[in-house]
Amino acid sequence: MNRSTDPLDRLVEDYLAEVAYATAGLSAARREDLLADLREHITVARAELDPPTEAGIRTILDRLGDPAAIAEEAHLGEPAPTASTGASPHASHAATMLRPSAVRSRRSPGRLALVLVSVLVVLMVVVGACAVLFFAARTESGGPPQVSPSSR
Amino acid sequence: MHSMESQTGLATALRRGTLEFCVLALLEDEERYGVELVSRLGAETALTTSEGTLYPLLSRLRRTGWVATTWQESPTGPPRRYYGLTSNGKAALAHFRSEWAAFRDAVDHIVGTENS
Repeated sequence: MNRSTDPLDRLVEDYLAEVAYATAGLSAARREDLLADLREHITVARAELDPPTEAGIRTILDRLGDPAAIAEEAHLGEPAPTASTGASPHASHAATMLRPSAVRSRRSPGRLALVLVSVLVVLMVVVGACAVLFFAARTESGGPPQVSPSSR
Repeated sequence: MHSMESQTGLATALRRGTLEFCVLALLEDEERYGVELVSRLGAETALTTSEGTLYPLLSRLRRTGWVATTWQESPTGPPRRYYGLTSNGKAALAHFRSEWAAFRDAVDHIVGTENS
């Protein structure tokens, strides 16, 4: 991105830099998505200004609103940032390699749920197997006799 | 006394879970591009704090698969990304409509706002 000296461009870049700063805790893919959406909004809205004045640009940015409020909304439904600000660098790097549409939000919560469910299933299978073995052993070694065939 | 903060918190809590369906409803009959969509919603001050906060919401709706986007040329300016409802989005909106009516009626009934 070339550093523009156009004052209107500077306004836009400064605003986007503020949003980027406020969203440091987001995964890289999500953050780039958001910045691209906002940049696109500004570009389209700016093209509708006739003529593009500084006041016009300021109105567009004012209506987009406080970067902190946008960041707060963007963090909803995101995994809580880890102590080291944000998702693991590997995960976010991998995510940026994918097309944004291919990146799914279930990534982290989904993985956690999967692990939990797997652990539960394994536990239940082990407990079930133990119970079956235990009762089988009991039945063979002098447990209550099976229902006699004569009762038919 | 009610602090300003708790008032804002109430508005936020009410928006959460309903605003996304307002977005779906706006897209029900026609595709709209981002600027158009967020200025429509931004004009309803009870619904949203600012236009910018709608983009993370739109991003979630895309990932959920309730809306899909297509780039379209504009006769006057840069290409625009149009948002449209998917069939899953239509189903979600229909489901919300029935849930919402029951929810609203129940709240009105208990809180006593039937005629307000």
